[in-house]
Amino acid sequence: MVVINPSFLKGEISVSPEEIVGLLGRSGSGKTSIIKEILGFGGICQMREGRMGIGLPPPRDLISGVLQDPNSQVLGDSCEDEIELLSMDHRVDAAMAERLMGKFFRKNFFQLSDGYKKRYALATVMASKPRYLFLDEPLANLDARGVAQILSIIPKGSLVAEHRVREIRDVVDRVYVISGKSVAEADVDRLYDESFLRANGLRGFSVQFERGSLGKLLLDADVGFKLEVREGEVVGLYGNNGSGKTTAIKKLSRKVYPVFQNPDLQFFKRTVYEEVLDENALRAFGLADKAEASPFALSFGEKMRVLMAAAFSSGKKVLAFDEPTTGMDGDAFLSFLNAVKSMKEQGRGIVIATHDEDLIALCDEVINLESRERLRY
Amino acid sequence: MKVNAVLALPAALMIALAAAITPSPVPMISTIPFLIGRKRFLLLELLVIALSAFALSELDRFSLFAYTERTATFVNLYLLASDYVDRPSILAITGKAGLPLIVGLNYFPLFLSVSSEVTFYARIRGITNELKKGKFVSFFQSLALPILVEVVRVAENLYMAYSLKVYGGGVIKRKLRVTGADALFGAYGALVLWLSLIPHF
Repeated sequence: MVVINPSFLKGEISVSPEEIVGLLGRSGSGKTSIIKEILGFGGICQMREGRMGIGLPPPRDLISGVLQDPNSQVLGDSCEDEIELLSMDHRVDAAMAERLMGKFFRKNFFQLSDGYKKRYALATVMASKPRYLFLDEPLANLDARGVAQILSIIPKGSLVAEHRVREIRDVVDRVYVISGKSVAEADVDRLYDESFLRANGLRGFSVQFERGSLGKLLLDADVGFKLEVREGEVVGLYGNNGSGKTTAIKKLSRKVYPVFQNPDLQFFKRTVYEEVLDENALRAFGLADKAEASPFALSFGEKMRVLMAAAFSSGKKVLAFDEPTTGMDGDAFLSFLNAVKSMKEQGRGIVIATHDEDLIALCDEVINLESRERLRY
Repeated sequence: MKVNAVLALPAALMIALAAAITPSPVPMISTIPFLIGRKRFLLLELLVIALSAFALSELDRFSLFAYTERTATFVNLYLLASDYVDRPSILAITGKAGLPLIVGLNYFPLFLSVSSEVTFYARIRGITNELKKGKFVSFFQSLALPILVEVVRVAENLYMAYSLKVYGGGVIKRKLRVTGADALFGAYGALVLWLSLIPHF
């Protein structure tokens, strides 16, 4: 068993080789920092397990990990290529990697689906057979199919930092929750308790959303299918990764104010105020105290709020959001719902491209991009 | 198709040398047939070359066109290496010192996609209007900001991934098998260098 004392939190986390352990908490609570400390990057985290010392990077054959973004962890052209590279450095189980990647073992990394990119990152680390594996948000931005592809291969002896409670609560044996400046074990059953989830800023609770009356037609576009948006209306484009949601939003980009998935690539100014240029919008989105901060230095939820505030202040009547809840914790999700509510009250029309079923509750109409079925609520 | 670095890298070096020491267009032309699969890139490059040739001849400075040829050759060679060179064979020759080269070759598609996304977002946010207003410095600063942040983030992650994945004591030697295709690449590089050295070719 490995026992970890994070340097910046009270409490300890233990993981044994026979279990999968969850690590939950709000955005910015320190999940990623704990994973980085354990892996030897950042602060000094105390660990106890056989030959490990304090303040030294852990032996990599004992402890390894996978970071959130698979795109920046690739050393080879394909999984086969990378396994061959690694086999020149130390012993690896190439057969295991090939089994995990299946027919995509020889496919170029940048041509893989999001689910298989994550699987690639996991397979190349698991092939070195570490006893413990520390995973930072392995399910981020994955649709149901991608989630299933990852959950089916997470090995025992893993600590999984996640915000997607609904997806991992059936998989973990034990769970730790970060609250304020401490981390403590919680009963897995509590992950089904809505008041517990809300109190700890976790996702997984159900939401109710009032649908008002709709006004005049604001947008009538053909983006491979007919899309109409009225005042105060939220239209959902629902589908798995690769079903054409982002493409549809890109096609709309001249007619609407679009907000895409990676906030860091959409900031062009040095301060939050320069991005938003509207003090009322900053106040409405709880960003008044961040006006002079760099948008790049904010938490993910705050970055999304900056983009939404900029959309809000743009004056455009129709706003479009591409997977807006990716990386959002429970608090940021509630804040997003409030933002949508105020935009509806202003008579704006909203298009939301998503595979997050929680967002369906907001929509007046949902277009399933795979079946082309339309559901009006 | 992947070729062994044992002959592909010397071939690329010979073509780069030919471009660096001679004004011949042969090195640049020799790289173009391999880029047929990258139609958009090729079209853009040919457009830049044509514009450069036109502008320099209009300004009576055509002797500077050799620099355009050199730049195009070096960029094309990087793309060719990214597409065709077998990565483990680089490690077999250079040891761990070759890993930065491997990473550099692998990350071309990522940076191309980041640059193209940032340019798209800049256009829809109206950042490109700064160009129309003649605010060139402000435009390039705005565009560079997200790209720089992303480059730093990727570099930091790569360092961590490298430390996690490559922890063994040293490089296990792998036998290098040179095939006929590898030999052809080597001969091609030598031929380009030889042709470039023939005056007025």
